Amino acid sequence: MYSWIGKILRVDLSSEKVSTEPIEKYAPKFIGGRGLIAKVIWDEVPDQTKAFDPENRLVFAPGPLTGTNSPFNGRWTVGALSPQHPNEYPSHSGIGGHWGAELKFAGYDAIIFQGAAKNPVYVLIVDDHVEIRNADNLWGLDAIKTQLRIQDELGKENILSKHTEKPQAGLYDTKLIRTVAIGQAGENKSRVACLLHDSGDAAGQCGYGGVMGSKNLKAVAVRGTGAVPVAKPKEMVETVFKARKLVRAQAKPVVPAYGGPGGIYGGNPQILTGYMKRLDACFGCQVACRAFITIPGQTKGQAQCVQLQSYFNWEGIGPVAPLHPDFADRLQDETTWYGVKLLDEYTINSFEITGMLSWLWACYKAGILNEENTGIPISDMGSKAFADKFFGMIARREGEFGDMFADGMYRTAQKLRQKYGDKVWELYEERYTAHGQRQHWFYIGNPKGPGDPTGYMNPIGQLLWATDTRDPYSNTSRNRETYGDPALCEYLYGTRDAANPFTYTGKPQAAIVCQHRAVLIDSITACDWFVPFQTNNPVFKEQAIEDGQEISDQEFGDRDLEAELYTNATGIPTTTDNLNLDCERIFNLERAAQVRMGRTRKDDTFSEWSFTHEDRRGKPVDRVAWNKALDEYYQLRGWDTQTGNPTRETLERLDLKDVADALGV
Amino acid sequence: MSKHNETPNLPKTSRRKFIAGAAIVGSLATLEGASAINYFNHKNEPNPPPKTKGVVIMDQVVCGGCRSCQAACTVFNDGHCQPDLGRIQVIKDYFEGDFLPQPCSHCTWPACMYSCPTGALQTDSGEEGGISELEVRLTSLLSGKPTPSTSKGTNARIVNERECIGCQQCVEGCAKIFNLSRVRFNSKKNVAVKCTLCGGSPQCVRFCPVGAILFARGDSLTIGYDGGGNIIWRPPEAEAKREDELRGILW
Repeated sequence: MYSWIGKILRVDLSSEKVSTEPIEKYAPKFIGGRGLIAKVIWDEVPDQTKAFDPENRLVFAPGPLTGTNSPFNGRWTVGALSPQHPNEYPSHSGIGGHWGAELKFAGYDAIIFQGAAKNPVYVLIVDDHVEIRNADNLWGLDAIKTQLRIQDELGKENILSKHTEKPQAGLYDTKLIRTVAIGQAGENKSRVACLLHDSGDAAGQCGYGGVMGSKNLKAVAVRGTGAVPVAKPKEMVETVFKARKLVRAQAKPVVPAYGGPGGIYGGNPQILTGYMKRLDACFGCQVACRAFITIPGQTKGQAQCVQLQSYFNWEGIGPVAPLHPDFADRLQDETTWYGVKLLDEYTINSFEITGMLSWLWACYKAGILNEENTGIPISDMGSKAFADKFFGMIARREGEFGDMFADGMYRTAQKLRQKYGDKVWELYEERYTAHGQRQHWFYIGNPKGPGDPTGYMNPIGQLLWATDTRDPYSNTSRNRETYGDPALCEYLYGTRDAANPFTYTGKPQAAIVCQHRAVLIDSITACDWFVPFQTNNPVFKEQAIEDGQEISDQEFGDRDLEAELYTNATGIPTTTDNLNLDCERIFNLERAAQVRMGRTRKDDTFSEWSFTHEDRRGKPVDRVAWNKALDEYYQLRGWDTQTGNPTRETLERLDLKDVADALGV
Repeated sequence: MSKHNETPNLPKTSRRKFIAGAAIVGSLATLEGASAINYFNHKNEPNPPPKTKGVVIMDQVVCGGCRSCQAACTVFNDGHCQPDLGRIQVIKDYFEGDFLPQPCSHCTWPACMYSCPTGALQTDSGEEGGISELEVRLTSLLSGKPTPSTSKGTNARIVNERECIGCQQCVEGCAKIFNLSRVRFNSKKNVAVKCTLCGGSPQCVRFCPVGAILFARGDSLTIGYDGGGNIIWRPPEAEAKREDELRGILW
């Protein structure tokens, strides 16, 4: 078997038992990554389980391409029942860095954690050696200190030379151990806790830091010295270079506009750029989109635009302003960095914080919340002291409001709605689209970046939001590229109508393609910023042409490139259509697990607010048209239009007969 | 008088910095007359092999630490991805942001070669009957087309796997000079592996996204090292070109 190592590690924290299983049950039928997670949850998690129950499975799953030379393969997927979701449906969250690849080099395709440890533990994996170790002395430390402490401890025990088989020529350095850890927020089972790896890679959305905390699992440390086999090395090298040429025409250092300080979401980049030490990249990246920033006296680390935004300027009302006018003068400076790194250390999801701060400020301005009734220095928002106080109270669940915010914005707004009235909820819905997750910047739009033109999520986005279990924009981020480009829409979706952002025509068809490609990149595991390779607009293209370098003249990117990479890496010949079928299977399996937990058509919607309030063009979302689009989506999916359940016919077509039997459809 | 066990007293490098404190480039100092040759315990008086015609050079500041070089290197040369075997190693301190790509310098006085008891370390001379192992291996691995003519005669210091006995003395020899040995040891196959310049087209250079790794060519390059393991010579034309390239690009 190529690309897959062939082994899955199962760690039962209750009984402290470790075992391995063959991958054949999951791959290639469910590919890996998100597909593997879907299968594990369907097979093993009973439908009455809640996210913090020991029966919940926490799955760390890199896909087959992670740990090869495939471009952008550093990203991997975490999955479990999501504590952030209002109904705690199973979901998934992506995380970059070098951990996923390291796990593959250690010899495992995925880890399944089940049960809950009695005392704090962490798991150490050095190639074949797997150990559940006591973490009493790590409990209470922040996520970055935890990682450093683990490296120190293991270095003193000389653990690497004990467990790697032969002399590895200078590679006993414990700095090579990669660790995923949680900080205080995760320990206290916050529903918005992320899990952190290295100095700033995080699986933010869905609250899996809290799931780690509920299992008393402080960290997972990995060192691998092995190999990931590639079926056709020569073809693979050339395919990777082909992919790279679609993204980057010349090898030069540059901070991409979407990466480092400033980013496409505004902010004067000059201050933080002055502190920038270098570019930083995940494993196998062909871009290096992040900045490593060192500010004297503060935590060092890398951060991407999303993190840097989280304590800079939180947007006002979605369709109106990307940046809040009350904070228009704020700079992306040292204080911003302080807040950002504090969130990382506590492992609070910084994406959630932007919505939370925006909502808190709105409630403050509306006179609903103030410093007296909350105990939060709201007027001081944006300062270091506010960051210390507010993030600290979330991480440690201090006081009524700290406890409430630690459960995420959805549950906070639900509680406060009863106390302070519907205005609280309205302000929440303004910012939060569905699944207890906040709206995405992508549909705010601003002069520097392509937003959704109406200020609401675009029609494709609406279908994605309604039928997913989390913010779908991060892994379908490239769906916006196709607007206004009928030719590209035809190439990708098979319909030119999808290019019009103001109608629903052709959108269900396009949404399904987007969803399948999202499942694909979460399952083979590749970066969701740069994959799929659907356009041919590499950075440095102009310079390359000037220098007389050969530039591909194809009009679009290459929608078949993932299939080519997959074929060359795994040795299993496949096509885009076949992969789409695999992805459809995974998506239907995920849906089946949700249906088993009670999901119906009425859950397939998004914030009521957007049906009743005008967008940038002066129109609310048309409910009748929307429902018709959803009908069409169900029909194309082969789902029942009344209930939203996958039909038996669909499931059997996807080789999921057992699922159909279990669901009783 | 034997100097086997003495630490070579090598000239200290004076460092000069690029514009805006950018890339660290070694100074122009060679190892002529230094005692490094005697340092290695080799039964034959080591005649320096022909100088290399190419060398992979790196720019520590620009490196983003993606390790694409290690992945590309091992997939190309071994057929699987195993960064630990990468003939180029990126030493990373993830929490300090120090990423140092460490390529093989194909030294003019190669410690690995002098340490080898069997003569398995050879130069890729491209001559008939010379080290054809590279070509054989590439051809079989890459299955199909004959290797291009550039795959011969780079004078890279390479391991002839048939003659390697897996004693790892080359690894130790290199580690005496460099912090981290550029010669890697494949414990599965029990052979040492090292940079071959990929037959004239180094894959690490090809896949570096930010241009931190460059390939310098020349007819006869003198490459040395200082006591700290830094390359202290690079071809002047490459340096000038690099400086031009960096000017204005670096943030």
